[in-house]
Amino acid sequence: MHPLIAIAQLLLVVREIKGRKKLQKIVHILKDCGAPFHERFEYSFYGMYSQQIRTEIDALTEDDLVREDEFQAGANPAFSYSATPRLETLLTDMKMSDDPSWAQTARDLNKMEPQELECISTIRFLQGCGFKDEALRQRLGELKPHLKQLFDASLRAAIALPSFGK
Amino acid sequence: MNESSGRISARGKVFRDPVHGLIRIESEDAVLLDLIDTPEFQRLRRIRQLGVSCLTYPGAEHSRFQHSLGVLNFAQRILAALEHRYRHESQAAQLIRDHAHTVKCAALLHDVGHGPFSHMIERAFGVLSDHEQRTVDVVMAPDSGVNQALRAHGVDPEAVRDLIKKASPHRLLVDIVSSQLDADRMDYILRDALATGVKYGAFDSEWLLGSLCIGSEPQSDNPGDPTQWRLCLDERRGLHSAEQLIVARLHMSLQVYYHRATRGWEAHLLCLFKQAAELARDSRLPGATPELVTRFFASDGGLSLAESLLLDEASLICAMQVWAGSSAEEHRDLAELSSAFLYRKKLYLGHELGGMKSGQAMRLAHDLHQFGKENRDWLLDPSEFSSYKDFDSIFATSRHKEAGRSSTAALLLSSGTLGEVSRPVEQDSAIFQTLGKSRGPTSGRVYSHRRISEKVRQLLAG
Repeated sequence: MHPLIAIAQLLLVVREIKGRKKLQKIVHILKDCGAPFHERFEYSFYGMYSQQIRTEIDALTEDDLVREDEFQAGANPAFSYSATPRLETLLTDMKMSDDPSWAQTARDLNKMEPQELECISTIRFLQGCGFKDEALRQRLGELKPHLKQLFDASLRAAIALPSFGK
Repeated sequence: MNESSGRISARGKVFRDPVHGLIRIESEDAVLLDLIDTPEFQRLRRIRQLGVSCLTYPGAEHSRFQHSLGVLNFAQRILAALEHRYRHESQAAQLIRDHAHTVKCAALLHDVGHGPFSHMIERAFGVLSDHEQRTVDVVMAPDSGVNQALRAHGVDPEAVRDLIKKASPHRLLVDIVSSQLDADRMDYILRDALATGVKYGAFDSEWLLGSLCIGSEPQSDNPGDPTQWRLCLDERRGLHSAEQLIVARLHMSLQVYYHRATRGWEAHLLCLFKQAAELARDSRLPGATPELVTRFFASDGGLSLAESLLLDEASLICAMQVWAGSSAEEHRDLAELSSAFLYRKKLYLGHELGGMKSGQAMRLAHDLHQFGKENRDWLLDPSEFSSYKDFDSIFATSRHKEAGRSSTAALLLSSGTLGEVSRPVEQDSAIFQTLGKSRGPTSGRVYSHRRISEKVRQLLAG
């Protein structure tokens, strides 16, 4: 399967993702749940981040498969990403337009606020490192002090995420 | 503590090395000698740094063992450079002194989880796709020699884990082990260039080390906070060595890591592994296959940690020799793939995708299924797929102005004054800006078995 298929399917499934942070975190969380995204992530000051997503979206946008629109998010400009009709046609022709197994989870994640997603994504990352219980809470607080108040709800959400193909 | 650290003299221990000259381990760093002596680390002698590149560059026989020692050396030198530069800044100097052992251990161990032919093994079997996690598994396993050596010397394995996984609150320390200026990259570019004979991988490491400094995260909201410090180059003296480093990385990526012939052999190996796994799951591998290798493929790479640490290149080569000699009809493809690999008979031909756009590339991958099985008869090798750290595009374009990218992918410049924010080097460099305007070196390749290569060629031409 071409490595762009999964991210193309994601945009078809959710129709539009508002913000680069949301896009990054949704892909990371889905990948961590076992969805077939190949992008490599590393932990950064801004949480889990993949450079590849950046270049992939650029490539899809250049080919008129994804549309990037600017909008105001507070004081700063932000970008939304949506599938174009051309992308829908392409995936339909390739018989890849049906909802993948992770589609509903993607839609659920897309309804969340970026900070919630950042907290869930960071929790999943830290759990993968072996952090749990109070150590998990403490390390999240050290890395993401602005997310401390979201910890309990995000932990519940992180635990409740389904597992795909693992 | 084992024999080695018990015998280390007050003068320490010295290793000769083709890249560094001498690599010194001081007596107060006896933990490093004990780590080197563990079975997990010694195994790295039997894993080549560049996997199958030796089929393209005969000199590429250097091991992950040598490379890991080299990374340690660079990490030591970075720590020493920073400690010297900030010797009058108590907070910075203390941070470095407090964590020096942990950083050195993380640098030494950063590749200990790598398997043989890792770039293809990781791609073939999803469970192995994260070699960093495997490294952390080794560090954290209570019965591993590594874990025991760390604890015996009072080094917290969790702290080493945090540096390797980048989960440490001190990003500066993480940067020494893994960043755009890290010890890992600096060593492997020089070492790989030396071993392959590719002259373009040279850069002025001495000047670069002398130009290192501390700056704060580019978008920092609290630049005085030590947890927001980053490893940077001095804006007054480091720009040209940054440019040289990036050009060296670009050349090494294009000439070595993404070499057409090398990627062809990697494609060959991936197809071989997939074929072996298919047979192993049905218990149909040749009977003389080493038991460990059979279990490895039957479980799609899912061996226990202890068993996976027994697997090295010799194990797989031994298995290929058994497979190459099998005359059973059910082993025909396996025998062909194994024999061709052992005796360097090219089976997979590469087709450049040129400037193919993403939609066309996705459709191509779909259409290729008519000619055979993916990862058996043909294989996509998009340029963005690489286990090599350097092949992701690191040149910012105007479209790439985002905080996450600046934080993770940019080389950072700073005045070196603590509490001042850093900035990506692109802002100051005409070379970076020019490279950022280009689309990128290639869109990737398709490799196909020669029996379908003409059909693939016609598909691409049509």
